[in-house]
Amino acid sequence: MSFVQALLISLWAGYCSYDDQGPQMLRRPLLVGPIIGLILGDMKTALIISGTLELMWMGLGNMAGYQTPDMIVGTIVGVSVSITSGTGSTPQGIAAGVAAATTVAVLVQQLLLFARFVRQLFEPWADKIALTGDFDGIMKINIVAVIFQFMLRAIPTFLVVYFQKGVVDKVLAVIPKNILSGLGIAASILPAVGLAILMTMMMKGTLWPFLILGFVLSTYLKLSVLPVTLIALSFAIIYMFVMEIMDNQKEMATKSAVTQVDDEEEYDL
Amino acid sequence: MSKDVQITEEELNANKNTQNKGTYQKITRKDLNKIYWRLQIFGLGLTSTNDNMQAIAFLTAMVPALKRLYAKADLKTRVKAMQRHLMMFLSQNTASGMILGITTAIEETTNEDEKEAVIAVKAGMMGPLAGIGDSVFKITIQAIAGSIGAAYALQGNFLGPILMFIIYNAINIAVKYYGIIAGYEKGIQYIQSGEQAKVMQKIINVSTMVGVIVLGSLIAQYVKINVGTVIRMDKTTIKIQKLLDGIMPQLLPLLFTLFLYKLQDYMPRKYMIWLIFGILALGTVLAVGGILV
Repeated sequence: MSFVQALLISLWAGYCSYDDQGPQMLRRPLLVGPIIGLILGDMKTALIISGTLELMWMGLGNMAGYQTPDMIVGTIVGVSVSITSGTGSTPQGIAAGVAAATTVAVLVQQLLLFARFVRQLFEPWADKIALTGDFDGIMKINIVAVIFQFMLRAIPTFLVVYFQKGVVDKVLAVIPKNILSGLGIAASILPAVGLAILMTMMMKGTLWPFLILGFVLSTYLKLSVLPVTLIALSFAIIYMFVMEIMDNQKEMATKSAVTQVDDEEEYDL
Repeated sequence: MSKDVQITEEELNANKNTQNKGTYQKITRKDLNKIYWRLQIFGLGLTSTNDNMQAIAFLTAMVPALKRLYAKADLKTRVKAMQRHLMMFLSQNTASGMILGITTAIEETTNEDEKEAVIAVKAGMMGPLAGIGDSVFKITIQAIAGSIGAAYALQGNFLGPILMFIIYNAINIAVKYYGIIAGYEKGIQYIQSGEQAKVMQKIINVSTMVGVIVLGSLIAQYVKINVGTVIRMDKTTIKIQKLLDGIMPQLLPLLFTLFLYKLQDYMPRKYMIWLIFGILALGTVLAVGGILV
């Protein structure tokens, strides 16, 4: 990998780092990864590994203050490792990419704790600006924050991507072939983890029939995700209307019951 | 940026007619657009801290409105306004558009001695909207867009990421932008009518249902577990995978995912990453042994 390529990758990492905390348009592996393929000239590998990581980390995301493993640097390193080590989109290449991505993601997670500490310094600064009553002053903090956020991932990514040259090749050369292909098979089980996390967040009591419906649509009818989504959408909207009608009927029933009681009371009088 | 505060003759006249608003100038659509761009560019996370969380970002997004409202206010009022929005705020990026819109509307309609209402409304809305934002955007829409995109990407098709970007961001941007506009225009009546709770619940219900159906389909398509073990009895060989497929295709992936789902009751989420390593290790051992293919 040339110096320019490493530089471009680290610039992209920096931008994604800003984006993850700011606009949140590119926070997922599938959107982060393909640009690396563009820079390194192997789009197919980049797409396959980003797609695998996307499914694997589907349920992961920063929620309620918990810092998850860093998907951005993980994806970038994972994709560039499997492209530069020459394994490409073979099962071994995917396995190497996934393993590298996961390891790096965990390491960078610690770096993000440091970022939290630095951001803590913004608070007294903001309080001081508030005392001046200058509305535009608060912009200074944001600009510093953007630069800091950019550097936070750009620098380590450059170091890892530029100096990993050869290291991964040597590691891959040492590991026996059958273990590598085993790793590839194991990697294809991993989407289960992301989906299980997603399930804990979505499943509430009565939703089991819907899960089975989706499963059946794909196992027996061999439908892919897009048609399933469209079927699900129309199904959900119909279900909602039916529930609404039932609620209305219930309401009417209780209302008429109330008026009946009223009538009887009047009659008694 | 100071030229933004200039007030046209027309606006001044309009202001004279609404005496209850004191010295305030009316918020324009342009201000709301500026609020949107600030939310879009700086988000909520860049300046988040441990104590006041996303307060600095919230104040940053509110500045266009504050500048308009407090253009002629004295220093004390301006300081108070800034401090008011530096109080603890924690919500979700996309859903915060609506909170910003409603907060702007309340800032505009309240007098200086009623400003407690601003803090109360913000505090009341950030929790529920964070819940909706997380469950609808971060989980459901992101997962659906991601899985549609991943399906194409795994075949090496560049349409995947593009499709994911368009699906996710069309909804993301629309909800942010129209959240601000709608929040500002009919925010207060909306909260008071109790209508919003019903609509929000409907949105959550529909998107959760769609999400769960898609989830079932994803388990069937993307989790791959194939048993390679063959049982030999005399002259006949029985392939275990064929037996399992006879019961139900993709049975093992379903059972394994359900197992992981149940496992999370006994294991905090932060250990999930070690689970990934565990599955990689165990899977490799089984594959080398020929049990998995």
